[in-house]
Amino acid sequence: MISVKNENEFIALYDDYFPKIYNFIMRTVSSPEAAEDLISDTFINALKYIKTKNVEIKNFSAWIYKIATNEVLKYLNSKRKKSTLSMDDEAAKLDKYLVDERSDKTEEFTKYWTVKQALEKLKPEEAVIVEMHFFEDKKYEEMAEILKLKETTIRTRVHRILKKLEKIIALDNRIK
Amino acid sequence: MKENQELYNYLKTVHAPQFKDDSFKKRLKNELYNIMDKTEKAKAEGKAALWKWRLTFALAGSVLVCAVILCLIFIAPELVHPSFMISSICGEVTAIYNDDQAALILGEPIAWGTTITAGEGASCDVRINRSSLLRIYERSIITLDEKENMITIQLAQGTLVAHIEKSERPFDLQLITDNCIIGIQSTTFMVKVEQDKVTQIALLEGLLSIKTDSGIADKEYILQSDQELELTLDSMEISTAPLSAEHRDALLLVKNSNFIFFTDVEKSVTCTIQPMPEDAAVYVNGQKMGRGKLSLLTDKAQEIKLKVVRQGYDLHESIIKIEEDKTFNIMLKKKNASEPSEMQTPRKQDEEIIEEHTGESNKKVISQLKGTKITIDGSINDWQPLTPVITDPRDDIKIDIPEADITRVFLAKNSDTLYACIAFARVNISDLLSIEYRILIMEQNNPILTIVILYEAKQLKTMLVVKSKDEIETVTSLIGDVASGDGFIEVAFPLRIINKYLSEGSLYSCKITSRMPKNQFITTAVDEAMLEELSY
Repeated sequence: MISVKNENEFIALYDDYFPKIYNFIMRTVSSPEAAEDLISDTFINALKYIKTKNVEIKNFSAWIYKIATNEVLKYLNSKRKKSTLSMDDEAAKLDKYLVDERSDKTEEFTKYWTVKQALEKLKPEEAVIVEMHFFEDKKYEEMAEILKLKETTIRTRVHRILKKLEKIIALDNRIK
Repeated sequence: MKENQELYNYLKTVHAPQFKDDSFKKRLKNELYNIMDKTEKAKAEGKAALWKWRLTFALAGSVLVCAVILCLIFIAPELVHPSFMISSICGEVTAIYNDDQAALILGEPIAWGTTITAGEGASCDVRINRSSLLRIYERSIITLDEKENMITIQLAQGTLVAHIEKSERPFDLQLITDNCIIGIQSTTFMVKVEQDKVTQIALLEGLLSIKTDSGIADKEYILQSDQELELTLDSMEISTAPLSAEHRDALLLVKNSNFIFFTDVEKSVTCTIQPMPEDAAVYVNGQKMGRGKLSLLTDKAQEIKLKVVRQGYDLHESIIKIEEDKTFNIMLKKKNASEPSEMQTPRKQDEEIIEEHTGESNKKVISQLKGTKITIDGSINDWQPLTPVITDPRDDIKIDIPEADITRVFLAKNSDTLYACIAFARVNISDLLSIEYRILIMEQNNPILTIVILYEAKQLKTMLVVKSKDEIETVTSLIGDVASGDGFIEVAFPLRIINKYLSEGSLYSCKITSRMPKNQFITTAVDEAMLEELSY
């Protein structure tokens, strides 16, 4: 558990946490422009909080993810209401930011994107939980810390979300 | 959970794409650094502002504290109790407090109720606060007192010159004589109380409120600058006159006594001048401080011009720099035995007259006293000796005087000095010294100048009294130079004072009066035929 007491310690962790938060937000919002804003807001607000409150952040990872999640949820809740872009358009935008480290990049991305499309039909909070648990590899314990929920609640929610997601995927397959 | 396990496992196999944007990462990092800098800067600015305010408050506080301290040190005590302290003593100056002899110590405050007496030839400076001064002249008695925040200077007799600075007057000050109360504003003035309780007041600057508190007249007068007046016990009318040159000079001397106004008592040094002979006159920066030992407080490293004078001795002149408390013993060298040092009584010294009376001229005066006329040098307009006309100016008691006592009266003048000499029939005149003689120079039977010679406090003194033509008002008076020898008394005065009261071309006559001890007035019939008119 990494703790942070001041802005210097915060900036020292930036290099480690930027990729994690960047990917988390990029995947959840699927928009490079929106992701940049949200990432910026996440780190800037975090830094300002440390500076102004002058308190020790005992679990920095959970804390920075919590901020990022809040930003993402705010964004997603507002975006869902007025989204005009199709998922394909958004995926195309994300393409240039992909890290080209696997030969099967396209296949893997298609696989992910199929799931992602199903996730889009979930509530933002549900999509975030799936993202965290399956793509960020967050344990229930850590997710409970980030989302300020009980671990059992997280487990139950994951179960319910999977049931819901299964139905969505089954429905999508049937449609196809 | 089992029904979801397949999906769960499937999702676990899905590799989430990894995104990367190094430029954005760098940009955001810079932005964070900027925020840190701004925060630091703001913090620093905040700190700076805080320090600025702290500094401002500290400075303001310091200024306030300093002001309070300065106020407490300088102003407040003066508001409550101005500091009266002795700053110089010359000759015999004594103090009485609670009927006991009190010590006068330079630089120490004078207790209220103290009476200060300046003896013959003595003087004393009392500094008030930082730049005001009272100068007490010889034969003066003053009492300093304070009641209900009113400081009173009571002048019983003698001469007092005061220079009160405007800034130094947060206190009420008044001067009381036997016949008036003077309210003192910022001013430079002189008050002289004579033995007959006549009060002369001369004002150089400012205003004086003069209230007569005894006698028939009980009025209040405002004396303007450059004026003077005289009050008697029964003054019915008070008229002012322009300030005489003599009084102006005396007042300016005191006003400009910068060497008296040392800046700080703690940092001042005591300079003591011990002349030998002990009755030599001591001058500081051209001012006659008195006769005898002089002690004065002055600023450290102050240079003073010192002059010590005694008849029959060589003049001593020097410039001394006073770095620490120091006594300067000034031993005057005696002139040769034939010179006037052999005179029986010390003569009062006046700067101009001393120079005239040293050397050959004085020798001539003495040698020719036995003759019939005085010739000091070739430029003299000789005045013929007069047969004495002895009368009593007050016409109180008429007693015959042996004519043998006064044989002649000599009057002479040169370009600078008026001399008068009374020659006696007897050689030893010591038993005649208690007589008061008056030589009157008259214009149409009105005495214009009166030379008074009297023996007082074991010393022979002379004074020139200038009166207006109606004989009512004394315009001015001047202490002169006097000496006595075998069968004569000689006096001298600066002619520049006298010239103002004599008109060229007028005819003047002369007569002499005398008063015996115990108020026995003696006179003889006036022998008109023996009077000679004086051409001037």
